[in-house]
This record gives sequence, C-alpha cells and structure tokens, in this order.
Amino acid sequence: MHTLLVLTVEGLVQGSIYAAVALALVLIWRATKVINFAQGAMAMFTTYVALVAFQHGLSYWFAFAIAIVCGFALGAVVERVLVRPVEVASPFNVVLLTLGLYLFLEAVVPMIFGGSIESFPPALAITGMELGKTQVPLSGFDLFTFGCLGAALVLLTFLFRGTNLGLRMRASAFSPEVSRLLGIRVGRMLTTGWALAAALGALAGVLIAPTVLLQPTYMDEVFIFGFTGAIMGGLESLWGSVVGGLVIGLVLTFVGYISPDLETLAGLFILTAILMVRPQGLFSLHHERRV
Amino acid sequence: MSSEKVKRSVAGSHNPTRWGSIWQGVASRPLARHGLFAVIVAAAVLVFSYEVGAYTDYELTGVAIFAIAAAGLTVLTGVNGQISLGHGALMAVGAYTTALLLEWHSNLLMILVMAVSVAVTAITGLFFGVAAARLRGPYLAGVTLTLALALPQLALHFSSIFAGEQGIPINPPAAPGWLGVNFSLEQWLAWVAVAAALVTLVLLANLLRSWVGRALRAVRDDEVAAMLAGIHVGRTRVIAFVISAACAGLAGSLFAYWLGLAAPGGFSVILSLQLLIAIVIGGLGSLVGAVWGALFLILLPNLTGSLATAFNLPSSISNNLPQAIFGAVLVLAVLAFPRGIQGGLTRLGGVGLARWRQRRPLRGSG
Amino acid sequence: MLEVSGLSVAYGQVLALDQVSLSVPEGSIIAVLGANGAGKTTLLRTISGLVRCRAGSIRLAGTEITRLAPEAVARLGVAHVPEGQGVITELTVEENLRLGSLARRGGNPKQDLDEAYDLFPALEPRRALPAGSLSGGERQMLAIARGLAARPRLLLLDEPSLGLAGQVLAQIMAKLRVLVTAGALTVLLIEQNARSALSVADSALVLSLGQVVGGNQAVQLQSDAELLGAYLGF
Repeated sequence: MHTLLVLTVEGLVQGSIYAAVALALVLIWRATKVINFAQGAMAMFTTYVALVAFQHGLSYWFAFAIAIVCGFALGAVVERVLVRPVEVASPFNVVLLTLGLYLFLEAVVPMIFGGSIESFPPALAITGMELGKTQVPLSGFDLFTFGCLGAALVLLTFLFRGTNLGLRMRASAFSPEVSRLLGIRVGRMLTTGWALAAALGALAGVLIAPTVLLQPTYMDEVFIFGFTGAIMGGLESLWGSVVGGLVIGLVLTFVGYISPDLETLAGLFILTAILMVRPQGLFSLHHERRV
Repeated sequence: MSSEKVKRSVAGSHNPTRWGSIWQGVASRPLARHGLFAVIVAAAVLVFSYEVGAYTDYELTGVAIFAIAAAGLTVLTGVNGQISLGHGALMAVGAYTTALLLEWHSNLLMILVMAVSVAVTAITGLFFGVAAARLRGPYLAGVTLTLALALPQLALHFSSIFAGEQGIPINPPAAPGWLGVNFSLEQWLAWVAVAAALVTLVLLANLLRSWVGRALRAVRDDEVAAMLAGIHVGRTRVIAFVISAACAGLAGSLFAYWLGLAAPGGFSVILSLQLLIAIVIGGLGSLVGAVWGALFLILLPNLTGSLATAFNLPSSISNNLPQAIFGAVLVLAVLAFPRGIQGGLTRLGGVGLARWRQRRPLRGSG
Repeated sequence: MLEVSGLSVAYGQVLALDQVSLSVPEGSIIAVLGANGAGKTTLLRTISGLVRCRAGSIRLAGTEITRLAPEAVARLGVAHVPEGQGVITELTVEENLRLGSLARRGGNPKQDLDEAYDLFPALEPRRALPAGSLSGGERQMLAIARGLAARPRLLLLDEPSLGLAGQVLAQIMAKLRVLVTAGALTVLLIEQNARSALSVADSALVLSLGQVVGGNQAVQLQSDAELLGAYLGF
C-alpha cells in the first residue's frame, strides 16, 4: 500500500513536469500550428543559465526566476527570428527548423558551459515530510512542483479567458486574417505565445533538474513524454494536455517500477497507440484529426 | 512532313559506327547507364584505395555507410515525403543483427550476414511502416523520434542478449585469401562498403525511375490525386518505409563491422538527425545529393578537428563543433528556402546542369 | 472619405484589378457591382490591406493607406466585414463583439456591447454561445455588429446579402442608413445581387473583369438604370 502511495506521488510529480511541457507544446501549436521540437533543448539551455547564476552566488529563487525570464526571452527571439520567416504552410520545413535548433542548442551548451555533468540543487527538501507521526511520501519539493503547475494553469486560464490580451491571442490563433482586420497585431500575439510557452518549458526544465544529472540531453525524454501527453490531450485544450501529462507520468512511473529501462518503450507504445486509434486525443471533442 | 523526310530522320538517328550504336543502347537504358557509371566509380575508388592510407580507407567506408543510409532515407523522406527521425534506430537493428549472428558463428559469410541484417531490418520497417502509415508531418516525426529514443533501451533491458551498455564486439572482416595474407583490413572493408553503396544506389536509381518511383512521388505531392489515379496510398507509404529500412539495415550492418562494436551509445538520436541533415544538404530527393551529404557528415568533423588543433581549442568546443554546425546548417537551409527545401539546393545545381545539357542536343532527336 | 486611383492588383500573371478608380464621399453608401470574378472582393481586400497592389493609391480621408498592413488600416477606422467567414466561430458572440470594440482606441467595451445589442437585439440571448452555433443570418449580423463596434469611419461590406433573407437584410441596411445619415459612417459595399444593392445604395459602379465599366478614369459613379441594365441584364 505504501509503495502504491509512493509511486502515485512520484508519478504525479513527474506528470506535472510532463504536463508543463505539454502545455508549452499546446500553446505553440494553437498559435502557430507547429510542434516545437526544440522545446526541451530550449528548456535545457535556460536551466544551464540558471545553474551558472546559482554557482555565482545567487540564491536558488533568483536563479529560478532567471530561468523563467530567459525562457520567455528565448521563446520570443526564436519565434521572431526563426519561425516567422518560414511559411508554416510547409510543416516539413518547420520540423526541420526546430530540429536544427535542437541540435544547435545541445551542441552549443557544452561549448559555453563546459562539458562536465553537473547536479542542480533542489528548491526545498526532497525527502518526505512528516505529518504528525507518519512519514508521508510527499516532499516539500513535490508540493512546490504541484504548486508551480497549478499556478501556471490558473494564470494561463485567467489570461486566456479573462483578459483582452488573451482574447486577442486566441483570436489570432483561430483566425489570423480576420484578427488582422480587427486591428490585432497578430505577429505580436504569436511572439507572446511562443514566449509564454518557452517560459513554461523553462519551468519544467528547472523543476526536473534536481532529480536528474544535468547534461545536454537530459530534456530529450521529458520532451517526448510531454509530447505524448499533449497528443493525448488533443493538442487543443490546456486542461487536456495537463491531464495527458499527468496520466503519462503515472503510467510510466508504474511501468518503471515493474521494469526499469522500459519506460521510453512504454511511452512509444502509448504514443503509437493513441495516434493509431484516436489521433485527435482522448479528451478532444473535435472531429477526427488528419494526422 | 513527307515520307522521305521521315525515313531519313529515322535512319539518320542510328550512327553508322558500331561503338556509336552501343553507346546509343547504353545511353537510352537507365539500368545500363547507371550500371556503367557505377563501374566507372568503382574502378576509380579501387585505384584510389591503393594510393591512400588506412585512415582514409576507414573514412571512405564511413562515407559509403552513410551514403547507403541516406539514400534509403531519401527515398522515404525526399521522394515519398515521410519524415523519419528514427532511422538511426533502424541502423541499430541491422548492427545488432550482424553482431548477434557473428557472436553465434564467427565465420559466417559476410554477404550472408549482411543479407540477413537487411531482411530483419526490412521486416522491422514493415511493422513500423504499417503502424505509422496514417501519420503525417509532426506526428510522424514525434513517433519516429520516440522510436529513436526507445529502441536503444531494449538493448539495455535485455542485457543478457544484447550485452547492455558495453555492447557486442565484432571482429573486422578478413579479406579473402586470394588478395594476399597481408591485405589491409580497412581497405577490404572499404571495398565491400563502396560496392554495397554502389549496388544500392544503382538499384534505388532504377527504382525511382520506374513506376514505383512515380507512385512514391505522386503520394508525396498530392495524396488525393494519387488515390484518384488508382495508387494505393497506404501501401505505397509502407513500401517506402521498407525500402528505407532495408537500406538502414545494410548500413547498420556495415556500421557494426566498421566500429567493431554494436552498442546503444552508437545509436543516439543524433545519428538519426545526422542522416536527415545529409539528405537535406543533398537537396532532399536526390540520390547523388545523399552521397554529398554523407561526405559532408564524415568530412566535417575532420575539418573541425584540424581547426581545433590549429587554434588550440578546448575539447568541449572541438567535440561539439560538428553538431553545432549541423544544427546551424539545417536552420539556415530552411531559412534560405522558406517555401520548401525540396529540390531547393539541387535546383541551384540543376539549373547549371540543364544549361550544360542544352549545349549538346540528344542524338536522334529531330 | 475614400479615394482610390489607378489601382492595379495582380495575382501572379492574372490581373485582378486594372487601373480602378473610385471615390466614396463621406456619409454615403456606395455599391460596387459585378459578376463573380469581376474583382470586387479583391478591391475590398486591397483597400483593407490584405492584398498588396501593384500600382495605384488609396487614400482614407486624405491619408495615404496604400502600403499599410491590415492591422494599421483597421486602426485608422476601417472595418472590413469579409464574405462568409467573418465571425470567429470558436469564440462566443460576446467575445467577437468585444474584439470589435477593442479595435478602436479609447473604446468602452461595455458601452459598445450595449449598443451592439440595441442594434441587433437577436444577438443578446446568444451572447455566451459560440459564434459557430449561429445561423447564417445571425452570423452576418454579428459580423456587422462587430465591425460597427469599432466605430469605424468606413465600413467595407462584402456581399452582405449572401445567406440572408431579404427582410433581414433590409433591416440591417436600414440601421446602417440611420448611422450614415447621422454622418457617423460611410459604407462601401460589394454585391452580386444588384437589385438589393441598388435599393440601399446612393449610387453604384460596375466592375467587369477588373475594370470599372464606363471608363477607366476617375469617378464615374452613376445610378443610370439603362447602363446598369445593359450590363446586369435587367
């Protein structure tokens, strides 16, 4: 029973990270109909920046904030400089573009930051807390992770449903031409979407860093699982992608317990199964998607 | 047009000399033309391999291996329009098949081992092609990327069979006796690899010129139109996958001989992406371009290595410079051709080629 | 209000508009008529900035807007209601209207929304519903209401009669007429349905194969029944 609880908590924590990546991918997809294959690498980059900041004496929270801000900036720059000129009508091209960026970032990071494998400090204690007399398998850091995801979700929902900016962003995503006729600077909305997405990715990168060894490829699998979660959620809804990410986290944690090393393969099966059987995602109410 | 003129033009298109008519026969049949070209290249490589040292032979093998894999990927991605980020994993299948076969019976005939590796990888490609037949664009990319990440894990999990992290070692193939006892191993492997590459390229070139090639292209350009023309879209896509998998299997088998090892570390995502870069540089859809791309892949790390020693760059830079350049090249290629790389680079070369061709009118025309 | 002179637009090799000139006086409703493919929609799209012209100039109340991006043109007070796909179906009715209100500087969303519902009471009960659930006529109303919520100086209407029952169209046009007479609005509308257009417009001109009929030079606005009859067949 205790194992079940431990696994569930761990699964949800992992799932929260995948959910953050899934959110980022969905944001970008909704804005520009692009899957950003460089999302993980961008997050890795910003985490390294945060690490350097931390190693130079800044507090963890400061470094954390730097990572998020860097993510925001990086997303905006990438959209404006790289993605905008490319015609999205050729999705092939954009896949190649983001893959090229992925390769570049993964190579450039060790060039800038040196090649050694680092460890990233956690925000709070990573051991389980104590509630009364029992040892609960929930650590301060776990709660922090949940909190971050929750806050991100709430902020995004508020942004999109409750603000004019969010309304403009949604309009730009649904009907760019009509939006332009309404005076909306669609280009700016797209840049904002990418910036937000990259900030989310940066959040995921920083949150998972303490539990893994920091190396240029550490976000590869996180990206894939986030991608799977996004596909599961249908690529259209924010909440769907979050649920997708959490589900993936849970399933893979249980699989990993039964049989380590097979997590990625399990992820592959899940992804292929979803795309073959219900490509529009498990939670989408839309019509059949041409994948 | 008078019947006299017709008779004369038909008669006049046959050059009276014997050699001329043989040349006519060869030039007009694609298989013969490709074959002739391959023989010429083979002869050139043969001579070349005697002139250079073992290390260059080693690199030549590498070029041949990547050329095979890239050619296969050209058929899948360039000609049929399916983007795959998982062909490194398919190469792994070929490599491990070779390694396991040799572990079982160390003196199996090389060509037999290669053939089995090709077959096994082709079957893997069949499974995956069927599963992925309905997927397009980023979805297909995502699934194949996952394959690239997941397959090496199989080797780690079933470490009793696949020898886990450190992999299965392979002895380099010995040259046949009649070449002499001291015949260079690197040179022999280079010969085998280049021969395999030429055979592959000739076969693929002919395939692409046939109705299969037409079907592949039709499905890439407009699925609905292809379907209306009677082409079975799903089957065509699976065929493309199997062909490219077979090539990857052959390349993987040679890769195992080349490295002397089949280990998970040799088949990272980067390998798959390197293949993609090779075909992008080559102009996506051109077999010759795939060869150029393979050359680029092998020669660039050489170049950066020399630069690094010349400028005393630290290893963290020199190790990663090739990949940084690969990534930058990919990004710049897309930015340079925002409407689509397809044929963009070959178009640049093709314009030149077309103009050159126009200088010499084909015999028999008119 | 609007001065178009020598406008030429090409799609690749095909000339969609050939030296078109027209003038829309302030506080009037002008109709541009013509058969399918005559270039009417292209004219509107060029004015609002979605399409680049090859030659010519467009002036809005004296200001040159020829090379401006659509966002900029909209912010100068031009509301273009496109044919058919004018509403954003994934957003609610209220969200669509709000977007219209946001298009102008110093907009007061609440007031603009109230006015819109006054103008088109049929929209109010549906305010929280996705625009995609509306009927064709209601969508057209929404699109026009949204355009008006921006308090534009110039309203560009693309085939307003499409999919609308005659009576509904008459109601909408009557409301527009009120605004126009009050001097707050100028309307340029394009129509295949000549009859309905002529019943609301002050004057009309005819486009045929990208050219203004009856002379390529400036300003030949006429409501000459004979000429129109010759070209439109009634």
